[in-house]
Amino acid sequence: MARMKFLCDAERCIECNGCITACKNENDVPWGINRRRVVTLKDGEPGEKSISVACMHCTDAPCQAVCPVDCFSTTPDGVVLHNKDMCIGCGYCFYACPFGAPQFPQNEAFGVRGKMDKCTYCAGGPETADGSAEEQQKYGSNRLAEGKLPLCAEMCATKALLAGDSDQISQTYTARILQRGGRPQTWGWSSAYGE
Amino acid sequence: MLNSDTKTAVSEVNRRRKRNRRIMWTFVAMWLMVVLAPIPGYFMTTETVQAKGEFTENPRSNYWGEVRNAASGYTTDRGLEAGILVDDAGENWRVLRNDTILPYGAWLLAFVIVAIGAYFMFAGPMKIEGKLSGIKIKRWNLYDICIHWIVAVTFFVMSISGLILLYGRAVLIPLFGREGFAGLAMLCKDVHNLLGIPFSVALLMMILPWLKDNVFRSEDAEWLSQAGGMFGGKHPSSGKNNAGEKMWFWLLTIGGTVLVVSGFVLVMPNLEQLRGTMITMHILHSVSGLILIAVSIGHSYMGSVGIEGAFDGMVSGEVDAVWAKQHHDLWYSDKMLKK
Repeated sequence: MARMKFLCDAERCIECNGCITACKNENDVPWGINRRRVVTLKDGEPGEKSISVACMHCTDAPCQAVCPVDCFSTTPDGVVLHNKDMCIGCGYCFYACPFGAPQFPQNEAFGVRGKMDKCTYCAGGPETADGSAEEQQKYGSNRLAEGKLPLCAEMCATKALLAGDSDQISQTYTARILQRGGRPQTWGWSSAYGE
Repeated sequence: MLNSDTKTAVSEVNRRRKRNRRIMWTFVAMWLMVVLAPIPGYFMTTETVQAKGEFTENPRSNYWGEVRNAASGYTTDRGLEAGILVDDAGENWRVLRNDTILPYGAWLLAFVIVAIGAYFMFAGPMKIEGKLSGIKIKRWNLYDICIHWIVAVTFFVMSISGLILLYGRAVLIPLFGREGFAGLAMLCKDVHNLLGIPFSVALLMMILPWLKDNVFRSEDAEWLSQAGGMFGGKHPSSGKNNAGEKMWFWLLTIGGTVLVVSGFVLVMPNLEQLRGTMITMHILHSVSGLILIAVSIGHSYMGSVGIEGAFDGMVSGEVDAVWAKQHHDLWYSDKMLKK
């Protein structure tokens, strides 16, 4: 089986935030929830680089390990999904995740956490029928069931954000690196701008 | 005859010593060679690297190193700490919770239950010595009784719901299934969160008036050295509260404060506290909770079947004079003098 992964090519990302817009629109993500974000390090300085980050669909996911109700599951494609019917909104997955992926709607009194929401790799929910209205409302789009990849990566203008089988996208990335040349001195910011 | 025999023996011993020394030095020389032989390689490697000085720093690996070390950047995401790409703090929390607190907490509770069970089986409950006098002495007033039971009931419900949230995945999911357990866990979370408020208030209202009776005094050292007469012997002297009760009081005061403060930090995630704070508070909350649950099992044993006559004291507020003389002799004589 394939093992789906995201890979963001930091040499290509131009911080256009198109992936975020695509994600929000495709999955009807509510206000205040950010399934994906773009972070720019050394913003405005030489060596500036941006990365788009969302749930990384870890192979041995920390969120899955700490969930008190065991509501996470990994699909045969390697996508980590969580069941919103079972989720109790305790926030443990948010404590455990190194990437800050789990999001909680705070629309109750005293900021009590609602059901957790995170990137589904555009694969809907674990318990809803593929592509159903219920699934769209609860988890967002299920492009994987239609044979399509997550929209954030598909819409990426510079093809910085890659999605797909880990073997294939790492091949693509390796090919890019070989073409750029193995030494970091011969490509990237410093060779282009001399700084 | 005897002389020459001794001489041969002595030279034999000397020869063996020399041989052993030679073997020892050979080993030392071999060990030194093994250790020193690869060293010239290091000198050569250092020279090679120094010759290509321009390659010693790799900006790409520096960049990913910074990302790995929780470097914060600019992002349009307004969430707290959204600028951090990778933060390991949760990894440590996960290991602490899943691999340390969970198993050791279970061992602690099992140990307490087995120890109390064994004590009950072999030593049995502490009986009242002699016949009841029928004379009642007031030990707790109505306020004491009410506040004790409010704290006790809320603590009990929160212990059970907390333990379900901590151990339910390991113990209850195999019994009920994931869907069945999720409903119970949701109920436990809400009950746990809501009961925290009455528990905090009642705890404070219990600690403050009881403070003066729980200051340690001179007789407590003697009581502690005899473990309260738990393992036979004469019952040591004690005031209104014995040293064991005082220790439980102070443990509840300190542990309860930790529990309440950490609980409020965890229950309201809208106060802009960061993830690191919540992780620390979660560890403090679960550790102090488990310790208090373990000790409260002992307290419940002693207050019910462990010590005959103790339970009545917390229900009616009155204890028998004979019981008072046996368990709290100093307090008893105080009361008698006043009368």
